[in-house]
Amino acid sequence: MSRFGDARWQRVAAWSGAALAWGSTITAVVLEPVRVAPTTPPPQVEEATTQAPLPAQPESGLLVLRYRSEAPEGIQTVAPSPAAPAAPAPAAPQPISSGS
Amino acid sequence: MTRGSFEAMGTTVETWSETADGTAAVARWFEEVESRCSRFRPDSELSAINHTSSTDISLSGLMWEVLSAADEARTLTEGLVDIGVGSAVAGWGYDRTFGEVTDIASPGGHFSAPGWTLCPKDRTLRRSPGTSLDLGGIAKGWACDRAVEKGLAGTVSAGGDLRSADPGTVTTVLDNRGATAARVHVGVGALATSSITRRRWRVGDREVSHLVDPRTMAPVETPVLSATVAARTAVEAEIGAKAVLIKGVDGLAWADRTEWIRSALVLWHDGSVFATTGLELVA
Repeated sequence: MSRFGDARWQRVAAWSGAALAWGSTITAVVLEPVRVAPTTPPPQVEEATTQAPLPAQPESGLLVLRYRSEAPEGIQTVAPSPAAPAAPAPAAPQPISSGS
Repeated sequence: MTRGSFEAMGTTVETWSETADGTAAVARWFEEVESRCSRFRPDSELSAINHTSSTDISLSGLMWEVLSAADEARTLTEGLVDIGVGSAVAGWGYDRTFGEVTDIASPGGHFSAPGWTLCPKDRTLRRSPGTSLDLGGIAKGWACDRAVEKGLAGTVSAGGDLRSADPGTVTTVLDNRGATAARVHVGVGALATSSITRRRWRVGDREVSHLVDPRTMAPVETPVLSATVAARTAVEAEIGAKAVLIKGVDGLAWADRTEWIRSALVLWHDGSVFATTGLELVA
């Protein structure tokens, strides 16, 4: 014969359930302070915004007539600058030199 | 040697010729070309082409020559320079002379890819519905080429497109701040610069340039602020410079391996200046 009757088993089950529920609450309370809150990750900074891309190397070599490691004022590194100042014609000719 | 200048095609045209009459002759020639090829003149042949509902259009002799040059340009640049982007150029806001262009909220509609062919048999243009032509750069370069080839002047330069019959021709390439990027010996040949820093305006929150990429039918986004190309003719130099701009990072490498391009130079977005080794620099 079992030492416990049905009624006693029911009490054990009820207390066990209550203890489990209480324990879960405690666990949740204990875990709460270390739970990582969802946050918006910082914006990814493209490497290109700080590291200027270079032109693909031509087969016969590349002449570097002027190199600037930092973008000059008013010029973005990725897109053409909205603030780029108006400029005279880039290929304004100079007076013809030799010959005639 | 006489130097002269006049305004045409929305830019300053400069001439160097043996006589003072040279400039006047070149001015008359440019007026003839502009009167047919301007999309801003309602009575021009180009405006008639762009506004007709017909898909098969007979062309004048001059227009046939210009469109033939444009057809060749499309082939040489693997489709990157295509005069059929006119609807996108106008739709993004450049639908009037540049001095009158204003900021707009958004582009005016969706623009279908360019569709046009030439029929040599009867010298007609066949154009897809919705395709509008913009001859701007091509007509300018072509006018320079023909002016020199006709002997009207020894050298003609129009807004960055230069054609020379003088072995001594030297030009200075300026950056977007007006500083010297390089001095280049052009000699007998041509040199052209295409830039996205000069003709700019806003569409919504985006600043755009006049150069439209036919692959996207939208203003080009490129790390190149300006590209300069030396070639045999001003048309080739002009389309080469545009293609280098559109190709962006790969532009110089492409120019270097392209036979009809003699040399190329780019002004990079950070102010650096790079060139192919074929560029003839002058101290």
